[in-house]
Amino acid sequence: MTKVLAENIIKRFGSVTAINDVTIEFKHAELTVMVGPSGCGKTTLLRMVAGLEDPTSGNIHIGDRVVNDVPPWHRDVAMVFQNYALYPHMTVFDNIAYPLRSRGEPKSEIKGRVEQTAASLGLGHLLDRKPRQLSGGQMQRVAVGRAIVRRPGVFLMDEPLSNLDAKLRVEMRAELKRLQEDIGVTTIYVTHDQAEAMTMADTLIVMRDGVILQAGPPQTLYDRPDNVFVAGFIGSPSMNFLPCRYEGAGCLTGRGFTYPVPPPLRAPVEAAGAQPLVLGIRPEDIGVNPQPGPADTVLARVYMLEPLGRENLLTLEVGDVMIRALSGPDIAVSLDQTVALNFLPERVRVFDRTAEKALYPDA
Amino acid sequence: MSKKQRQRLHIALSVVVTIGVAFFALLPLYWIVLTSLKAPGTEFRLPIRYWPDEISLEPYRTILGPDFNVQRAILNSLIVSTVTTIGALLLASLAAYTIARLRFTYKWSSLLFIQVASMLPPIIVIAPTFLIIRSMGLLGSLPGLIIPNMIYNIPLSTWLIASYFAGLPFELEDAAKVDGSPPLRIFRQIMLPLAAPGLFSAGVIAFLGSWGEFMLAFTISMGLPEAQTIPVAVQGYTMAMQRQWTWVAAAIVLSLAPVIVLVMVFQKWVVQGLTLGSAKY
Repeated sequence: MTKVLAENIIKRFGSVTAINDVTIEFKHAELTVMVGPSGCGKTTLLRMVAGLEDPTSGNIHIGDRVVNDVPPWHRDVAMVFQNYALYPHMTVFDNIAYPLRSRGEPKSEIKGRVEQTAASLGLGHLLDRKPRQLSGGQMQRVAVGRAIVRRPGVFLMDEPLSNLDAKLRVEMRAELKRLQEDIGVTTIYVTHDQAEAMTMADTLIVMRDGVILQAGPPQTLYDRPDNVFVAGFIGSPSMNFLPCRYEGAGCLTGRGFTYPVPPPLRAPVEAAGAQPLVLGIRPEDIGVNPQPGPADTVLARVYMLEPLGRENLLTLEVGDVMIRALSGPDIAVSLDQTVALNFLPERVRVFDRTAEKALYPDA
Repeated sequence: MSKKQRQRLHIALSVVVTIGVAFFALLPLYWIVLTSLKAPGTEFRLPIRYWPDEISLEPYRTILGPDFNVQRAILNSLIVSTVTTIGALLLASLAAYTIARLRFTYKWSSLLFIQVASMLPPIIVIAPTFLIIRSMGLLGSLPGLIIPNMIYNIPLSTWLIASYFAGLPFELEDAAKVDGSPPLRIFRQIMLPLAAPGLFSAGVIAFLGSWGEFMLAFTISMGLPEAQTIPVAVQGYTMAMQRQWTWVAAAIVLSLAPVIVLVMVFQKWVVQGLTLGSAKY
């Protein structure tokens, strides 16, 4: 059992607080993804688990022991770096063998393990090459090989796919996920790409400004975001936000629309009273009706229509806010036409605009 | 003029300039070789001849014989230069690594401070060096030559190697740490090999510097043959041989041979080390 626990971690660089009192457990054999904009502290937290940075205060536990004073070379972790960090003067074989040699494994053992690892990553024919003779994808595999060859307790990945082109990135993320499932090693994965985060994570952690905004299974973060940032960050195209207020009579009113509060949300919305609010709705949860009727309360002007083949992406103007909606491929609308929008009531989210917190009935 | 013509002109000019510079650099060398192959007493014969009438190995025979024993001086020079180079590289690479990689305040100014020592004209430091070596009881011995030579060479070597280390990505060290290597092993297995071109250029400069160094060697050797390096020995011959220039020329040619071999072997790396500054990764 190798779980990792970061406990009340604070990290300051001079006067800048990179991580502000974070406590989080990375569960055994799970793939946990930390995602967030650059500068949110995700890489710093990862480097502290590796031992490459020391926390200003707080404890890092790996397994059952506190490792704050354990140098990286004695921690049972392996890491894949964004730019791979392959040793340029060594062959692929020597690169993969390096962690084994560093730990004084017997020679006979090393040869077998390296060859087996290389074969499983499709690198068998490249063992004599130097890193500069490899393609980006191959270098990435060597970096992964160097990390898994030792069967570490914890596997750390710092944006390992961000230097690959789009197609290869999608392929590799499936491969990495499968590899992690197969070897069942506790894995902490850092990325700023929300699609990568959603698809790979068992547990997803969204960070901003050195704090964790929400952690949980990706689907939970998608369906039930705790706050405006998580709601907007997870999902592509991202959630639409319409500033509004609750002005009584069971309706949310914003510029150019009124919308009846979905019944489950009535209690928290009424409790919020006259606070400024935000209505959030995902593009796929908006129905577009090209023939508005007198009963429709949300009207929009079609600004742009982008056919994606399987569906159409519509950019619509509600009041003075641009929102996006996904519709079927056969919708017949023209630019500047007025259409009616139907928000799926169970998918509507309401946020407190000042606190940026989501309002839920049971919260 | 077309682009191709301009390129040709450019190449032609470069070749002419290179030949011109090489001519001036090589002419004295040629003259020394020529003189060393003349029979003793014929070196001033007029009119001047640019090609030997007959080749005589007599000067070499004399200079290698028991009276002069030039091999001894060459061996001394080899020992002094080799040990100086290895020692200077060892100390300079550790200093360079510290300056380029570890975090501490005033680190680049400390590098500058190291350089200041090397900016003093040698004549200023020769007397204090002499006193220090005397108090160590090392006058007239090879260690007495090696220690100051090493110290003289550390500043420039540190500078060259530090700029090399600074160009290597930090992730390499991070990766090696996580892969299980403590800092000294990372230094040995990752950083030093990657800084090899810088080490080569610093090494060749240190070697050539101590090979040709005269003033310190002359002062410390105290005229003892067992502590004389080749420049000191050659200078002695000009006195001892009643101006037998063929013999002196032969000694000079012999003293150049190891250096020329060294430069030819390492020139590729030296040029790379001096021009790159930061490593390609």
